[in-house]
Formats: sequence, C-alpha cells, structure tokens
Amino acid sequence: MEGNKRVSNKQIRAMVVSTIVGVGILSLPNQLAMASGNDGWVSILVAGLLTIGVVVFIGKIFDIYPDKDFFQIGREVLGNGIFSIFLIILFAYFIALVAFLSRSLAELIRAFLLATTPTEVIIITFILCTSYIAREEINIIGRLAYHIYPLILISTAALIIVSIPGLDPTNILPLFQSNVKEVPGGIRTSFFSFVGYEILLFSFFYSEKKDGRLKSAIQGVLIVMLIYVTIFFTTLAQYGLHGLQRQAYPTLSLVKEIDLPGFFVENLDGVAMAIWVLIVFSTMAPSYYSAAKVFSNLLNVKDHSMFILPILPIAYIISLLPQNTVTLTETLGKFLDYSGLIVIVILPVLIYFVGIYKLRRNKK
Amino acid sequence: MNGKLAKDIEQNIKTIEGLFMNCYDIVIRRIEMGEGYKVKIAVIYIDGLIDKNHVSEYTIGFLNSEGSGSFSPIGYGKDILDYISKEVLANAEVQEEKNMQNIVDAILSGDTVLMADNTDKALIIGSRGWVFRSIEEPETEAVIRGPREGFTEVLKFNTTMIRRRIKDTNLKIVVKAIGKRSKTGVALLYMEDIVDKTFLQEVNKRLMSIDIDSISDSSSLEFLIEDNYLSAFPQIENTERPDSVAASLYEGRIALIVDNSPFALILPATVGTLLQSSEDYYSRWSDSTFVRLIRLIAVGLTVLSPSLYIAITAYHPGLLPAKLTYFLAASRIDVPFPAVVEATLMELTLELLRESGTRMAGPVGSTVGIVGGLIIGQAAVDAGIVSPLMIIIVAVTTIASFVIPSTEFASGLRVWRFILMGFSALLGLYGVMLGIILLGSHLIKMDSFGVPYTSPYSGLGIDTGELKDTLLKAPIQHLRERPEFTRPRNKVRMGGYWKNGRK
Repeated sequence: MEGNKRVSNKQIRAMVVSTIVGVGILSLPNQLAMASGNDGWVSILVAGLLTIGVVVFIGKIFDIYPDKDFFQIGREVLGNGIFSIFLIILFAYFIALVAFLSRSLAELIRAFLLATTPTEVIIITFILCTSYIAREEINIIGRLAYHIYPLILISTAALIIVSIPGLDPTNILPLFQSNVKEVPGGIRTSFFSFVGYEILLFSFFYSEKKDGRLKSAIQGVLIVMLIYVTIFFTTLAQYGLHGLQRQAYPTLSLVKEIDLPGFFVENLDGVAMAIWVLIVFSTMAPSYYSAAKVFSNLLNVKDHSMFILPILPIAYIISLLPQNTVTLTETLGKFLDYSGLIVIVILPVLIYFVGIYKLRRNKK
Repeated sequence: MNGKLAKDIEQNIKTIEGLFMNCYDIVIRRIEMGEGYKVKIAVIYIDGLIDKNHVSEYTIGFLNSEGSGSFSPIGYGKDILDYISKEVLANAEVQEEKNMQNIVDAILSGDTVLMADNTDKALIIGSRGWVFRSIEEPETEAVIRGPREGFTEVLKFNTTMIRRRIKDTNLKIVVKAIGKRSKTGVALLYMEDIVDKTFLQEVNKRLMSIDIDSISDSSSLEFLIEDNYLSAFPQIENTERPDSVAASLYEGRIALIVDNSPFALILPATVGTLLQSSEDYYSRWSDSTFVRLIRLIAVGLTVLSPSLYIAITAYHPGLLPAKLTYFLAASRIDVPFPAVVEATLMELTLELLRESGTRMAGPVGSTVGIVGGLIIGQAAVDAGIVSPLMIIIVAVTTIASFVIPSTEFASGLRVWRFILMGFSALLGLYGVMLGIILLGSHLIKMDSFGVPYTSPYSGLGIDTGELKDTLLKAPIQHLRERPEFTRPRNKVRMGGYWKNGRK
C-alpha cells in the first residue's frame, strides 16, 4: 500500500482550479478595469487561451517522455548545467510566490480582521500551518485540492446568485470601446492571475490515467476562466467602470453589498474572508510543496519533506522585504512576472522543442 | 517442554504437574480401566474453564462403564487412544496430539486432555464451557428499529452471530493467537470473493508483526495496527453490533473480533463510515438522509462553536448583525472574564461532568448530570461568572458531540475543539481558519489501510457516486453497487432493474 502516490484526473482538474484561484480573485476585476476598462474580460479570455497553450506544451512533454518525471526530463533534454540554472530560477520563483501569497494574505487580514496583530505573526503562522501539509507527497496535495475545489465553485456561485438583485447590467456596456494598445497590458495583468498551473509539471507524471489528464487540466483552466469572467462582469455590473477602478478589492466589497431581507447574518465579509483564507491556502500549499521539491532536486535528494522547514525562513524574510502593498506588487509582483515568464512559460516550451529536436535527431 | 510426550504416563503427569505447580485450578483425574490388565489413564483439565457435566458424563462416565464392563485386553497392544477415541468417547470434538506445548495450550484454553499409559499421544477433547455474560442489547449503539443483540466476551459466540447472518462459504473466519502470554484469540473475518487481496495481505502483515505480552481488549489491537497512532482520530471502526459487522463484510471490509472483548473492529474506517450508524439502513431513506446532514452539522458545531464565540466576542463583534452584537455585549456586561477564560471554564466544567457521569453508574450518574448541568449552570449565570449565551454554546457543543455515532471520533473532535479555542483566543477568526487548515490537513493526509481517511470526500467517492450513501442515504434500490473505497472485487450487490430491486 506504500508507494501509491498517484493522482486521479479529477484531482488534476481540481488542483489546477484551486491552485490558480488564489490571492488574485479579490483584486483582479479592479486591476483589469484599470488596465483595459470595460473590455477586461477579453484579456481574461486571451490570457486563459495562452495558459491553455502552455498547458498543452506541458502535456506534450510528458507524452514524449511517459516514464520520466519533470526533473528527469529536464536533465535529459537540457543537460544538467542549463537545467540547474532553470531550477534555481524556478526555486526563486516558488519561494517568491510563497512569500507573495503570505504577505498579501497578511495585509488583507490586517485590513479586514486583525488591525492590531503584527504582520510578522500572521505571516509566520500561515507559513507554519501550510508546512504541515506541504511536506506530504503529490497525492495528498491532490486530495487537498479536491476538498477546496467544491468550496471555490459553491462560494463563487453563491456570491454571484446572491448579488444578482443589486446588479445593473447597463454598467457592462459599452463593449469593445477600449484602445487596442491597452489590451496587452490587460493580458499581462490577467496572465499573472493564471499562475499556478505549473503544479502540472509535478503532477502530470503521477496521473493514474495518461489519456484524460491533459483534457482535465484544460477543463480546469476553462473553469478558472469562467469564474474570472463571471466575477468581472458581476463586479462591473455592480459598480460600473469608474466605481470598479476605485475599489481595491471589488470581490470583497461585493460581499459587503449583500443584504438579504430577514437574513441572519448581515455582514458576510467575515465569512468571505474565512473562505478566502482557505482558497489562498490551497494555492499556498502546492507552491510551498513545489519549492521544496525543486530545492530537494537541486541537491539531488529524493525526499523533499526535510527541506520544508529550512526554506521557511527564506520565504519569511522575503515576504517582509516590501514596505507595503504597493511595493509588494512593484517588487515581488514584478519579480514573479519576469521569473514566471522564464520558468513557467519559456521553460516548458523550450523543453518541448528541444525534446522534439533531439527525438528526431535520434531517429535519424 | 517443547518436546514430545513420553511413553510413560507417570512421567507425562509429572511434567504437567511441574508446569502447573501452584495453580490451584488444575485437575488431574486418574482412572484405571480394563479387567485383568489395568490401563492407567489420566484426564486433565482446568476447573472452571470446562463444562463439567459434559466431561463427567461423556468422557469419564463412558470410560468407567467401558472399564468395568467389556473393556478387555483387545484394546491393549493396539493403539489404545485410537480405540478410546473411536469406540468409547461420546464427545463431539476429539483430536490426537503429540506435542507437549500444544497440550498445555489446550488445557489452558479449556479443553480436556486424556492421556494413557504406553503411548506417546494424548487426546484433546473439546469441552470449553465457562461462565459468561448472556447476549444483551448493545449499550453504546442503541437503535429504535433493528436487531437488538450485541456481542459478548466469548469469541466463539461472536463469530457465530456473524455466521448466522452470512450463510456463505465465502465468509472466512481465520483465528490467530496474539500475545505471547495472553494468547488471545483474534478472529479475522472477510468475504473471500469480495475483499481486496492486497488489503487483506496488509492486514495480515500488520497482525503478524505484533509482538506483545498481552492483548486485553480489541482497543489494544486497534492501537497496534492503525496507521497513525499519534492521531486523535480512530482509523479503525469499532462496534458492538453483529449486524454492522456483517454489513461491513458485505462491503468488502475486514472485521477483527478479539476474544474477551465485546467490541469488534472494522477496517478500513473513513470519515464517511465513522459518521454512519447502522440505524441509517433500518429507517426510511428520507429520515436517514436528514439525520446524516444533521450529523455533519453536529461535527461543525462540536468543533467550531466555542472558538467562534471567542473569536466573535473578543475580536470581531462587527461581524454579527447590529442587534445581535448589542445583545451579546449586554449579556456579557457583568462577566468579569475575557471570553476565552469564560469558554475554557465552562468547557472544563462540562468535561468534568461528563467524566463523572461516565464513571458513576445508573442513578448516581444521572444525579450528577442534573446537579451539574442544571444547578451549576443556573448558579453560574446568576452569579454573573458566565453569560447565558456561553451556557447555550457549551450545551449545544456537548449535545452535538453526542450526535456523532463514533464516540472515538467525537472525542478526537473534542481534542481539536480545545486546540481551535486556543487559536481563536490568539488570532481571532483568522486563528480559527488556521485551526481548520491544520485539522483539515491532518484528516486529509491520513490513510486507513491505504484508503484516504477523508474518502469519499477526497475525490474517490464523488467520481463513483458514493456520496449518495455517505452525505445522503439514497433508497436501497439506488445502492446497487458496493462502495468503491474498499476496492471490492465483486462490485454489484443487487441485480435486476430499478423497480423495487426485483427483477
């Protein structure tokens, strides 16, 4: 019974959804409204399609080398030296992601729940609690995703259904009015909201059935696109473009607007924050797991669980570097954008093409 | 002692007397039979472990009547024990044995041993019969409708109750002796054609690896073979009800019945099975579905309510509707303690009451309950030490914990309730969420014999539609397949089409 570290295809789908949906869901509509106005949803769709493209590349890699995991493939295709450089960037990326997630969570918790608690305490407790599950293998991460996945779907659906009475559909209009030049900026913003699919690098190899795994992963991305687009439209219809541009966390504000007659709980933002902590946790756990996994592979050690605690201080210190939320997005966020571009977009595509090239050369 | 029997009966008796020195309950009855040539015979047993009437009448009685009458030198020269076993004894179970250790074990388990002179064999006569508790209604798992018999302390009767329910040769009952000194009989029950083979191997492997002096109850066995012994949650189910065991066997699970314990073990156990009661299958499906949802709510209440109270009163009074906030503040205005002290105080009081109620039998226990629950609660509110809302919260928490069918699971949740109270006292609602994350991670990462502990919620059951028999309870017509989490080899349990389950 030991050694059964497989994940099912449905767990892969859940993993994609729960890892991608994270911190961004609260602020995404605002960022999109800033970047591309009423047509933010276009950039969601484009960014989602781009993500699917990369996901397909990742799937192809594992089809070419069916009996190797990501690290073995990378070593074989790119050679030890080059791949190690990529691994270092990948590790830096994941550590920065963990730091970014915990810092963003801490800032929001401070803003909405615990005004007087020091940021440090919130960050360290959150990372510590995540470390408990990050030391497990991918099958446990898959199970975790499957528990959070229905929560994401149900809470999103509930939020939208409950806020329908207050919506004004005319706020969505006019469509297709924005400048073409603004679309790339929106895509850049929303592409970062699709970060998280890189968990596929570590989970595809362990899938139970090879046939359906790519399909499940793509379904996952599609579900995320659907969630993002509906939330964008709902918040846009609620606040209008100018209102949306002034709301830092429109999704959370949307919760505050809910006022059902005769409803027991008036202020639902506490509940929303509670659920959101779980959603961030479901992004944090795979990232932390991946960071430790990459680190252990850099050192050629099989078991990643012994590195969970040693890398904790690194993430903690990095998360404390930015002064405030603005510098957080400007420094860590920028770093994540660029390093993410290298390791979760360029790296899989590069591995795919070099792999194909090597395969053809070997055939000749 | 491990050696074989000697030919000389005196020497054998001496060995046995040596082993059983200072054991007042051993009885060695010497008989001589035969006319002319007397054959020495000894009947050895432990007083109290055997059915005395049975042995006197059918063993010693027949030997005597044979010895005084027709027993002649014909028997001598031939194999005398063979003759006695085939032509003299009227007992149902008789078996030859040469090994001294096995003979001693047989005596210790309540069999009677018959030795004769001039042979290196002995007869073991099945004569077990001791004083036992009769079959009674199980106290911990009462049902309104359903069978009323519960297990007793006698292994044989317990396995019989299962056999009566499963008249199929595929029901295998393998008995092993576990415990070097106690040699406790442990029966492993499974359905040969349903159970998953690797699962069975794993259970056997774990049973074999046990090296311990004694097993005093099935709980010791449970702690020895479960996956994570440090966890507060049971990973093996226990039950007093033979019908539950039989139903689980049909699902492809494995049962362990330990001698001297009225609690059978069923494995693997998951959160889903621990929240089921056998009554669910005896009441109408609508009722059972409702009760199962109630149980999930009870799980939430028993873990969360005190910590949410602390978090809301101490950190986020603004999260409640305005009227409720004022009410809360007004009811707490005289309370001299912070919410966490108040909650811990009341929870501890209630745990004291519960513990004393459990240890005190019958009427005294209920008196303790009334005095504690009513009088202390009322007095505490009157004195202004705690707020009335706190009393309600504590009472609801306790009642909710009694709703959960598995007491072990409920007490695991109780441990986590206190952990969550600590978290919420330190970090408010965020602390409660951290506690939930830790509790959830703990449950998610656990396995019970290779089955995810949180199944069918872990993605296993949602795929296979198993939620209809865990989250809900679909009508029996819709449960035509065995649950998938045990990986049964024979999947279908009901043939035919959906009309009434008949073809």
